[in-house]
Amino acid sequence: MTADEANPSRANEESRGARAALLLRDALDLDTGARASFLDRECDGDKALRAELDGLLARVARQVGSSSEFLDQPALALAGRLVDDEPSARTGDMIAAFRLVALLGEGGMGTVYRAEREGVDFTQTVALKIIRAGTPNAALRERFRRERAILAGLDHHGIARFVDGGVTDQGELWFAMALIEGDAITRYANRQALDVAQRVALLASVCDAVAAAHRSLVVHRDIKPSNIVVDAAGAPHLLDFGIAKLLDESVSDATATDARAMTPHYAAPEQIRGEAITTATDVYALGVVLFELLTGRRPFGSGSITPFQVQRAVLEDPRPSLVQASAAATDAADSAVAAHGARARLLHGDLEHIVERAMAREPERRYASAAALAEDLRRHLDGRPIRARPDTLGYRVNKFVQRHRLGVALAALAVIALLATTAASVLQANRAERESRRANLAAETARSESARAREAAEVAEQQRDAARDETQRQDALREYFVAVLNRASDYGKSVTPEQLTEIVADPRLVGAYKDPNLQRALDLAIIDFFMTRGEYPRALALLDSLEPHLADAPGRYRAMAATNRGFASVRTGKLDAADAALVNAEKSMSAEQRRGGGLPSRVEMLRGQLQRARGELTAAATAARRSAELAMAATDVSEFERGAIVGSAAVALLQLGELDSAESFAEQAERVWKEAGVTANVSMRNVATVRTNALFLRGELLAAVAGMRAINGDTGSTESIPSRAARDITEAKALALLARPDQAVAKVDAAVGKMCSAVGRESLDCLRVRLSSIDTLYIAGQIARARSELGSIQPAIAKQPPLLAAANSFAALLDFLLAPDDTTLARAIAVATDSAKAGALPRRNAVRALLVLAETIDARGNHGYAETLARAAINLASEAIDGTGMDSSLLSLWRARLAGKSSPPDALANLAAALGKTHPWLLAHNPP
Amino acid sequence: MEAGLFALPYSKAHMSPAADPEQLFASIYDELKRLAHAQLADRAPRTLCTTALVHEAYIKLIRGDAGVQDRHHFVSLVVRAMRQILADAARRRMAEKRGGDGAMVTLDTGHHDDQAAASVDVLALEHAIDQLRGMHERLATVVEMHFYGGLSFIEVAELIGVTERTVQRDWSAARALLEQRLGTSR
Repeated sequence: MTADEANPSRANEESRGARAALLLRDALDLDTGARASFLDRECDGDKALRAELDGLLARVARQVGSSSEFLDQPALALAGRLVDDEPSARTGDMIAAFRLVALLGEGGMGTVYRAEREGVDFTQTVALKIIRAGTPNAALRERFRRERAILAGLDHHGIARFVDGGVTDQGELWFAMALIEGDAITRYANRQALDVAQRVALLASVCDAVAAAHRSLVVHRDIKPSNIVVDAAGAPHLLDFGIAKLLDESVSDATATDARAMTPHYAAPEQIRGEAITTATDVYALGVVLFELLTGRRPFGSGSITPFQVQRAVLEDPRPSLVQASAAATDAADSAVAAHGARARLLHGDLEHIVERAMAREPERRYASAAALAEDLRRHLDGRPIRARPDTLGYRVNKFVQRHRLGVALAALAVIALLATTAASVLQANRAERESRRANLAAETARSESARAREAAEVAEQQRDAARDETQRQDALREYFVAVLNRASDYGKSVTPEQLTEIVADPRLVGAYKDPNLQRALDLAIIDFFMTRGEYPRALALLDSLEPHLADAPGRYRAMAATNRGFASVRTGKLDAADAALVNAEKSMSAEQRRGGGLPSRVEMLRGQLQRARGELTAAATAARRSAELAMAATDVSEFERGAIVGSAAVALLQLGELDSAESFAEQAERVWKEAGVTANVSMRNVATVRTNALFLRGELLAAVAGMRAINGDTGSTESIPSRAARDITEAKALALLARPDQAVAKVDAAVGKMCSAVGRESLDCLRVRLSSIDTLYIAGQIARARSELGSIQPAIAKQPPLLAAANSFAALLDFLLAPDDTTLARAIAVATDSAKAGALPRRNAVRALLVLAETIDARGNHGYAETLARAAINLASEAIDGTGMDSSLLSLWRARLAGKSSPPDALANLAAALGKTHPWLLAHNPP
Repeated sequence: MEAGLFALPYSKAHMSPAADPEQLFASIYDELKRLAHAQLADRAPRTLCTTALVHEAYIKLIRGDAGVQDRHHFVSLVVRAMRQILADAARRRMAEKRGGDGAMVTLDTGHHDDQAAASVDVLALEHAIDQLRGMHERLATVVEMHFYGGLSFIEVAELIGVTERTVQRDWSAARALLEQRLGTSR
C-alpha cells in the first residue's frame, strides 16, 4: 500500500470511527428497548458497523454495576504510582545520629520514617519526620532551636516525647519523636468496641495531656485522630505537639506559598481565617475529636468533599447534633460505629452541651481550657451537673447575676443593661400591634383611591422589608448580647465597666456576618451603645471607620450613622460637624423612611439639640415637640422606640425649662409603653427621672427625693453610671436643700466617686459632676471645702467653655459666702442675673441660688444682705416661677417680709409640704 | 502521615504577583506532582480524592495568582500538566527499564491486587484519547476533564454547558470506545 492510498483509507477509518462514536452516544440517550431499532435504521445494512456498536453497548452494559475500574481512578492516583519511589530510597541514610530504617508514611508536607539511634548499650527507635519545604533561613533556624528546647521540655505521659530536631544536609527540617505503636484513637475505640462512657473517659485523658502542654504554653494546633495514638495498654499519646507551629513558621519564612499546617475537618474557625491561634484552638479540635468518637462522623464535611468546602462548612454550616450524626452513621451502615447506633439516647443532653461548648465558633465561648473540658467530661461520667449549659439568654443572665450578686458590680450590670435595652426590650415590643397598624394604614389608603392603593402596597412591602431588617438586627444583637455575657462570665468574680466596654467593642466577639447589612447594623448598635454610655469620642471614632463602608448601604444605615454622628458632635461641642451630619441624615433618608417617620423624628430631635447648643431655645423646644409628634405618628418604630423618642423629647423640654411640656411628654411616653405592655427598661427610668427632676425644679423637694428613691428601688432594670450619677447628684442637692447636710455630702461624694472612677478622672463627665457637686457642698454648709474643690477643678475647666460660666458663677457665690461685703454681694447678684438670661432653666437656677444665699446669710444674722438678695431674686423671677414649691413659697414669704407684712399662711403651708415641717427656713419665716 | 499537612491557603496574605503562563503551568505541574506524591502514601485518606486535591490546587492558584483567568483555562492547564506528568514518568520508567514495558501500569486502584486488574500503557491511552478527539470531540473533553483533571461529572457539566446526565453518558461511551481501542477487556 502506498502512502497515497493509505491516506484516504485512514480518513475513511476515522470517519467510520466518528460515525460509530456518534451512534453509540445517541443510542445511550434512548431507552434500552428502543436502541436495537434505532441502530438497525441507522446502520442501514452495514453489518460490521452494527456488530461494532453491539460490542460497544455490551461494554457499556458491563461497566454498569461491575467493579471494573477501567479509568475509574483519576489520573492523579495513577501518577502517584508512576511518579517516583524517592522516599523509600532514603532508607539507610543518616540524619544526625539517626539511621532511617523504614518508611512509615508520607504526606503533602513530608515523610515519616522509623529511625534508630545507636547508643553505647542501647538502640533508640524513633519516628523521624522530614519536612518538605524550602530551605530555612538563619532567623528561622534560631527560632527553631529555641522552640526545640521548649518541646524537649514537654514531659507528660500522654505526649509523645520530642527527641530531637534539626536541619538535614539538604536543608530540610526534621523532627524525631518517640515512636508510639498503636492505633489512631477513633480506630482504637472502634476496634475495642468501647462504649460511650469509655470513649468519653479516653478523651478526658487526652485533654489532660493537652492541658499539660498548655501549661507549658505550647499549643498543638493540629489535634486530630491520627495524631492521637492509643497504645496496647489503652493509653493515649499525642503526636506532633508544637510541630505545626514550627511548620507554619518554616513555610511562611522559607517560601511564599501558604502551607499552614492543619486539617480542615478539625481546624477551628479562627485557624481557617488565619487569625490568632490560642489554646482555645486546641479545645475546639478536642471537641471535634469527641464528636467523631461519639458519632463515628466528623461534624463538618463528612464524605468526599473538597477541603475548601470543608472550610466553608466549618465557618458557616450549622453543626449536626450528636444524635443526628450518629443516626446518619447508622443509616450509612458503612461504619464500625453503626453497631453503636443504639446509644443515640446517651448522646442527648450533657454530651451535646459539652460538644457545643468545646466547638463554639467564637474562641471566647469555648471552655476556658482543656482542663475545663476534661473536668466537664468527668462530671458527666460521675453524674454531676456539668458546667456547660445551653446558651440561652435567660440562663446566661441568671448565671451572670448570680455570680455577681455579692460582688456589687452595679456598674457592670448597668453596662449590660444598656445592651439589654437595645436587644431584649426591643424584642418585647409588640409586633402584633405594629402589624395591625400597618394593615390599617394600607386598608385606609386602599379605600380612598386605587392609585394610592398601589402606593400603599408598595409602602407595605417596604415596611415588610424594614421589619425583616429589624428582625435580623435583633437576632444579631441577641447573639451579641449572649456573647458579651459569656465573655463577661469568664472574667470571674467581678467585671469592671472598662473590661465590659472592651468586650463590647471587641470586633471578634461574634465574628463576621455574611450579610454586610447585618454587620453594619451590628456596628451601628455598638455605636448606639457608646452613645448611650455617653462615650462620644469613642462613638465618633467608630463612625469614622464605619461610614466609609456605608456608601453602597441602604439609605437607612447612612441616615442612622449620620444622626449618631450629629448627636455625638453636639455633645462634644462640634456644632459645624453636627450641622453637616444633620444635612447628611436628611439627605440619606429614603422615601420609605420619610413616610415611616421614625428616623425623621430622630433627625428632628438632633435639630433641636443643635439649636439648643446654639442658644436658639424657642426653635429647640419646637423641634423637640415636633420630634415627639413624629414619633407618635411613626409607622416604622416599635412601641418601645416610640416611647423612648417621646421620652427624649421630654428630657429636651426639661432641659429647656419647659416643665409642663416635659411632664406631659413623660406621661405620654409612659402611656405608650404601658399600652404596649413594655415593662422595665432604661428609657423608662430616664422618663421617670424627668418627672422627679421636674419636681426638683419646681421645688417639691420631698416629693422629688421620694420619687428618686422609688426609681433607685426598681431593680427590674439597671442603668448606666452617668445617668445614675446624674440622678444621685440631684438627690444630693435636694437633700442639702432639705437641711440634711450629712446625707447630702455622703451622697454627692459617692456619686462623684463612682462616676469618676467609671469614666476616668480626666473625662468631661467627671468634671461635670464634680462641678455640680459644688452647690450641694455649700448649701450643706461646707463652704470652704466647696471653694477648694472648685479651685482644684478650675484649671481643667478653663479648657471647657461650656462649663466655664457655671464655674465662674459658683466662684462668685462662694466668694460672697466666704467674705460677705458690698463688692462680693454685688458681684454675686450680677453673676446670677447674667446667667438667668440663658433661658428658663438657668433663670430658675439663678432665682434659687439667690434665695438660698438670702436664707443662708439671713440665718447668719445679716438681714440687710438677705433682703437685698431676696429682692434680686424677686426681680429675676418675675412671673416665671409659679406653683406651690419651695421657690415660689419663699418668694411669697420674702415679698411679704419686704412689704412689712406677716407671712402668708398658704405660703407657709406650701413650704412645709415642700421641705418638711421642721425645716429651719420654715422656722425662720414663721417664728414661734 | 495524613493529608493534614497539605497546603490549605485561605488568607489573602499569600497573594503573589501574577505569573506568566509558563510559570503557571510549571507551578501546576509541580503542585500536581506533589499531590501525586501524597497520593502514593499508604495512609493517604481515601476521601481526599483527586477532585479534592485539584480543587485545592485550583483554589490555591486562583487566590494566589491573577494569571488564572477562568476555571476553564485552569482546568485545561491541569489536564495538560497531568498528561505531561504521566508521560514524563512513563518515559522515565521505560528508560530505566531499557525499553521494557515500563509504561504499563495498572489502572486499577490497588485495592484488589489479587484480582486481575486492567492494565494499560499510559502513552497508548494518551494516543487513544487523541484519536477519540477526532471521532467525537466532546467525549474526549469529558475524559480529559474527568480523568486527567479529576473533576466530578457535575463540574464537567457546568464547565462545558451540558447536563450532568449527558456527561455521564458521554463518559460511558468514551470509556467503551477507549477500552475497545486499547484492546483491554475483562
